[in-house]
Amino acid sequence: MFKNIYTRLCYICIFAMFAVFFCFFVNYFFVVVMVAMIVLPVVSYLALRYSRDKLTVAIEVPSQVNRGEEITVRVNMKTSGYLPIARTQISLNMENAFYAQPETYYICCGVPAFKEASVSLNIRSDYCGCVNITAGRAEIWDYTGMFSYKIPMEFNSSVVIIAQSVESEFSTEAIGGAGLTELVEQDVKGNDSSQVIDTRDYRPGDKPNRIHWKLSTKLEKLIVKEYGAISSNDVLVLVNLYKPDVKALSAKLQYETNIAFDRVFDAYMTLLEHLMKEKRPFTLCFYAPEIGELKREDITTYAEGVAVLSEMYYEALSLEPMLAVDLCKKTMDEFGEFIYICPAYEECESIEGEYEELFNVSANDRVLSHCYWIKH
Amino acid sequence: MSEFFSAVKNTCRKIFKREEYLAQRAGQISGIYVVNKTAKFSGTDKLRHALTNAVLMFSIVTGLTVFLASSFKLQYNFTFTIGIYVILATLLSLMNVRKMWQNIGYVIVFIAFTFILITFRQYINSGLNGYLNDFYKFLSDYWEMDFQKTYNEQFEEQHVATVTAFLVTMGFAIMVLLNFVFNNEQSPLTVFVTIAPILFMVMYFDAVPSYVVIFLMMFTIVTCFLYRHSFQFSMPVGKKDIRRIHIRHGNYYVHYSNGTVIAQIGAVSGAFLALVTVFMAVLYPSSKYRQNEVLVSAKESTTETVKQVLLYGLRSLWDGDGDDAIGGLNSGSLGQNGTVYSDYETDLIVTFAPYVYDTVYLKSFVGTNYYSTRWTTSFTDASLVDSCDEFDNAGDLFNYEADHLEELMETDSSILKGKLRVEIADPIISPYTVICPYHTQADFGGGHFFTGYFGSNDDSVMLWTRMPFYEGAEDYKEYTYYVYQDIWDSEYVEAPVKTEYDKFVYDNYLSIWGVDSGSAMVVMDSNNELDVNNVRQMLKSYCEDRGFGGSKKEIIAQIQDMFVREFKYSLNPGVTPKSEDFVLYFLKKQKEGYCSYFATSAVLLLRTMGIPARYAEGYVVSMSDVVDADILTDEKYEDYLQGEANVGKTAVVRAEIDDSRAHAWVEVYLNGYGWVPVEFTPPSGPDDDSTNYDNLWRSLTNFDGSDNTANVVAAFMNSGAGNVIAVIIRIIVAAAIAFGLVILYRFYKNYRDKKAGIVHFYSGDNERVLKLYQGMCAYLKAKKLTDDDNITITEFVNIINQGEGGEGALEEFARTYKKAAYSSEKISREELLSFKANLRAIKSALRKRAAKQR
Repeated sequence: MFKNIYTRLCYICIFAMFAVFFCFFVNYFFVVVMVAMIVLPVVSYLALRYSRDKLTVAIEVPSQVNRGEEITVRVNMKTSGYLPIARTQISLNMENAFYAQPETYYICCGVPAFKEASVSLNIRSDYCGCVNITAGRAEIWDYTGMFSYKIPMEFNSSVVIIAQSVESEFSTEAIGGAGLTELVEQDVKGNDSSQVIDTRDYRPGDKPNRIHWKLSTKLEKLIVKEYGAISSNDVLVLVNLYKPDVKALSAKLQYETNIAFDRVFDAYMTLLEHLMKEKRPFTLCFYAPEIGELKREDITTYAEGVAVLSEMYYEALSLEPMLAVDLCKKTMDEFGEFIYICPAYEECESIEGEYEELFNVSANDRVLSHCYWIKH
Repeated sequence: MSEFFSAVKNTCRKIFKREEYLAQRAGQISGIYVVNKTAKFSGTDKLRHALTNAVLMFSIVTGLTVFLASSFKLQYNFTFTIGIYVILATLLSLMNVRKMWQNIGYVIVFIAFTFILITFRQYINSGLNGYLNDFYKFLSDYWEMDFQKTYNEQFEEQHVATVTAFLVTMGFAIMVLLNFVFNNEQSPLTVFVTIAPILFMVMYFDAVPSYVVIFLMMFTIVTCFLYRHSFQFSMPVGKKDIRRIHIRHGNYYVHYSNGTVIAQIGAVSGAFLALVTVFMAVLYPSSKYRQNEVLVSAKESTTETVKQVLLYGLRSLWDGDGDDAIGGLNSGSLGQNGTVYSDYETDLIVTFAPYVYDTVYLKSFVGTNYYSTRWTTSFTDASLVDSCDEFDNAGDLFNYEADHLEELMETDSSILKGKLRVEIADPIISPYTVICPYHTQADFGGGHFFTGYFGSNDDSVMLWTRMPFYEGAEDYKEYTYYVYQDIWDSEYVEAPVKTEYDKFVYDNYLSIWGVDSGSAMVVMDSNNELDVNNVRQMLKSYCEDRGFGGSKKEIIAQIQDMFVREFKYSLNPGVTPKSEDFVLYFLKKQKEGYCSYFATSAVLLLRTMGIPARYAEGYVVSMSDVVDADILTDEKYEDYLQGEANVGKTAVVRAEIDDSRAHAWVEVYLNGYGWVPVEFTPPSGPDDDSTNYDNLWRSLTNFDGSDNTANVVAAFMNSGAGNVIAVIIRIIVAAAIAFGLVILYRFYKNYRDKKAGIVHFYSGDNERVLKLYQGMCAYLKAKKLTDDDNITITEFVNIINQGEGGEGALEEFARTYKKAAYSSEKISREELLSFKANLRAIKSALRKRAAKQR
């Protein structure tokens, strides 16, 4: 609003300036200039009204990128009118749900008549998660910059940022028990309750935690997974996705907390790669606040392991505190030994029993996340 | 220590790069960063942008030139001028399509412009003078007065061509200025300010532009305004290939420039203004437009000031006692007036019966003693009267010649008696000033003389002049005068010294230097004191070198001849330097000047040759004034002239005499007769009473006119070494000015970027890596391996991986790119070199792949 007022004031000042010149240089030229200056905003406003309903905007974003890679947000604009639009301003709100720090980008460009204008904004996310991109409205301006119209638009999309594994050497041979090899060699459908053996359309009454989100997004309808039974010989991986509310903290502490949380997924990816290399399926657990209990996903392939990241991102959206100690104790009680992945601020030093660090993710000599083998 | 410096650096960054710091901090929390990748805009977009700017440049410069030329009725070649403007506008704007073209282009423009200015300076200067002549011709008609101000056109016969050359040069200079504006800021105010001086100058003289001109000028200004407020102005060249991103209130604004939108907005603007112009032409045409009386009178209040500036320059506004004389009498002042102008206003109205074809002199001031900077006197008339038996009082002194001629008239029919009326029209001239013809006989019965400084005294005349102020004269003076028509053929010319007055004259009117030395230091001796004897000696040597000698008439003729042959009449000789004597400087170095110079020098030369002479000032009535005068048919000729004039019976005329007729001449003493006027100023040639500027540089240096530097410089410039040095100096000065402008512009841009919070994320080798990557993407697009040259590194790797070869280099290539683009680490020189090597390897692999496929 204030920008409009400022531009209008400038315009009035320019008009007054020409009027003053006219007093000293009494000339027909200035009469024409002042007439033009009076008519120009009117014509410009009418042109704006004409173009208002003729603008269409489409936004394209990728569905998934690796962390650190560019996300190209492409905005396509087209007007069906005969007049070009001087300036279109589209506000894009981007937020990584984990961090609740929205960034707003205003993309400003003109739209030519009879042609499509396509602009792209390249961003990148240094943290994993879902980057939700929403566009609330488009604002079009007239040629003089004094008038504008806001056009509502609803655009909502997410970009899944995939974590990256780190290089580390560790062994998981001793984890999981004797039946592990058999399990690996087994490939019989229906005999293993930890495996996803099938998918089907959603039926009312299905539990939300069974929804296969990735497929659902792709197919644009709800798809539900069918599981087999959990084998007691599976490796169990518990991922602690607790992230404290850090807004009250200093920027430095916020950053450190965020990056530690983010590296949990790196640790997960590292473990996933390792286990898949060793052909060892595993069961992934994480605390889902919505259901108030641990959620399980059986991972038998690398692709599944990556696909479940999306679920983790979504499931972890509402983060409620559950103490690491309690989480580990609960898991131990239910499943026995397990692999525990946690951010550095969630180490469970006081847990009962033995635990051994398999590897950690660190940067600049600072450990960001841990991967422990919690033994019985 | 390194931690300390790091902490200091961070603190400085927090303070001085606050927006960037806040942005980075925000990114650390949200993890989301905008990637300021150097996205290339398409060549077509840039071309459209450039051509639009060319249209704007052409439009404004053409409108301005046509307006100027049509209003002042300049003679020039329209088609050629417009054609050159089209070419120049296109070339200048295309320079901005690429950074390299811009850098090289401006250097070429600078060199070409300087070369053309220097090489063709006389031609362009002739064009400038031609334009000024046309302009002053227009002014003469506009103000209905005869300016008689002409400029020397060296190529007068090519007037049209030279004026065209000047207009093209002027238009080109404006285009170069506007090129910066159109490719950076698109500020309509800057455009208007650039053209305002010429625009207002033309409009001041009530010139109304044609509809086409109105359209052209408005089109540029309005379109600039629209571009600026739609943020479509920034030409994406070089670093500006990046999108314009600025941060305001924590939000990112990313502006994209679109060449098609720019062209279409220009078309809309043109259509709108065309409609407005047609609308005005139909409903309220310029012929219907009448100026408001109040506004007209407000404007007319500035007319005199404008006239003064146009005639006398800007200095006349603040320098009332400046070094330029504005016509009229100088009261004996010498050497300080570098230029004499005329205001062409009537000073006197003279009514008389012409009796001679030559000039009629009306005397007002007489100088007896030369003092280098002025004429003055060293004795009072009281002392003179006391010294001579011929005079009983000052009145006798005043009427000396007339009384004698009144007696002679009874026996000599060649002596005339006349009546002459002088009415003072210029309020600057005191009504008590006596301006009278030779040889006036005044009875001064009604009033009395007074000195003005020293109170009233019937027997005295003013100390500082030889002419009395006459109280009671008011604005009207009627003089009785006598004329000895054949005086130079009479016995008085070579008469010996006889009377007391003769002796007095020979005692007092042969001195070269006044008794008072004052503060003028002219010729110094070894003790740093005024060396009067040296001045006399130098004049004597001068006369000997010239071989002056013979009778009085012969010596006078020799001096007159010398002035005609070797000296030049000029109203713009420059001011005499303070370290030089006025006469010696004129005789030996200056060799040009106006009447005061010739008269003063002649007096001193005559005195050196033993002929008493003195300096006189006043007004002259020439034959041309008589021809232009009104004939008073109701006046009787016999009331105004008695006797037989050699020219026969004329009529009673009433002539208006302006300040250009103020003059200085010499009075030579004839023994037994008195003082006779003699003219030593040579005729001024075709440029009579005109101000002559020989070249552009001299007129520029004469703008200040504080001393005679212009002459000295001109003399030096004309020498061989001077020419070379002049060229070098001009190049250096022009380069320095251009360099200074560039520096100023960079400072301004940095300041503006800081204020707007424009962030440049990359610098140094990191940016080079990104540019190389961008170039590689363009290469892929050119090879039709991708449709878009704006691809991510992942896509890039996929494209390369589709075929064989290049994988090893590819991995490192991608790693280095990611480091440059995403991390805050700097790319080392080795990494950059390795990156380039990898790029070459990838290209080579692609070429091999393409060859295989063929």
